[in-house]
Amino acid sequence: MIPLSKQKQSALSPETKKLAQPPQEEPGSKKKPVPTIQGGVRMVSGMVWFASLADVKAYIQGLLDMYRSENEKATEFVAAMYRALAEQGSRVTNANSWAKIGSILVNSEDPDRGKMEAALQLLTDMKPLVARTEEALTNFTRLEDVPTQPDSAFVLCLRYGLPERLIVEANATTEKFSLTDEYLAV
Amino acid sequence: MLSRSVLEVAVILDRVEGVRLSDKADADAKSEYKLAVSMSEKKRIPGELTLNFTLDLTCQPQVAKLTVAGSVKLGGAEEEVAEIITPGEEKSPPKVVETIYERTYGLLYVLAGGLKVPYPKPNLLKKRTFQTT
Repeated sequence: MIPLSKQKQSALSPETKKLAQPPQEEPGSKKKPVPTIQGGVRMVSGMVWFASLADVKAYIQGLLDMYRSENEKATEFVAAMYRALAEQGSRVTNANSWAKIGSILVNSEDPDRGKMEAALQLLTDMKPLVARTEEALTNFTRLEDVPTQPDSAFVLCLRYGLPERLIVEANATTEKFSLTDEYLAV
Repeated sequence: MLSRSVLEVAVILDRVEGVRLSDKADADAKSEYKLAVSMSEKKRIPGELTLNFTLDLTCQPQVAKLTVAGSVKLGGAEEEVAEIITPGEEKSPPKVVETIYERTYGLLYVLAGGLKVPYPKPNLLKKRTFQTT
């Protein structure tokens, strides 16, 4: 009689079987703590309302700071991973430790290298994001020269985290919060 | 940009004042404080609203006046911010007023103690409701 766990294994696809096998430890190899990375940015696509151009500029500056910080984090992580892998010595690893499950690539064989590859991909993605946001901010002075009514509202259109369009809405009524009331301390 | 699930409230004080209006003031005397709140919008950017506020506490009978003024920064989702500035039930003030009062209450208590005037109480009720009951 075939044990249940084996029955289950036989029903799995080759990719899933590969994942189900625990990574093989090299004899005598000592596991060292490896650097970690946590964070991420949500690439916003949408429209954001502002009451002034200065607020738009501050918002774009905030985006840029965030992208720079993520970029720096990924750079530091990759450098730390390279150092950690070098200290562990060159190991012979399977060149392709990824298995495709549906639309997602899964790596359970070499998580350290997997994380490093993902961080390198993050670096590749962040660089143009930083560059194009910097460009938007550099050219902001030209936007400030555009004549606008004092009671204008500004709608910034973002596409995958990048400021792409700015809509100036003249005579926009922006409701401001105010409160005057009396209470008793009891 | 990771989403914030909890509303952040930061109270920054610009001015704290306490005046003893009468020599007859007694810290142990039975009295109550009337709180006049004034708030106005200072700055609004996506995910953040900054309000200027002034809390004027006047002792009844008028033997002391305590004032705190400053700004409160509310950071969070638009709905959460809208909820905290909206007046609650009939008897209760908006949550933002309660929060400012809670955060500054310790200071007001110490101030009252130093001036030897009655201590303000920690909870707030809308004045008109109090008057009708």
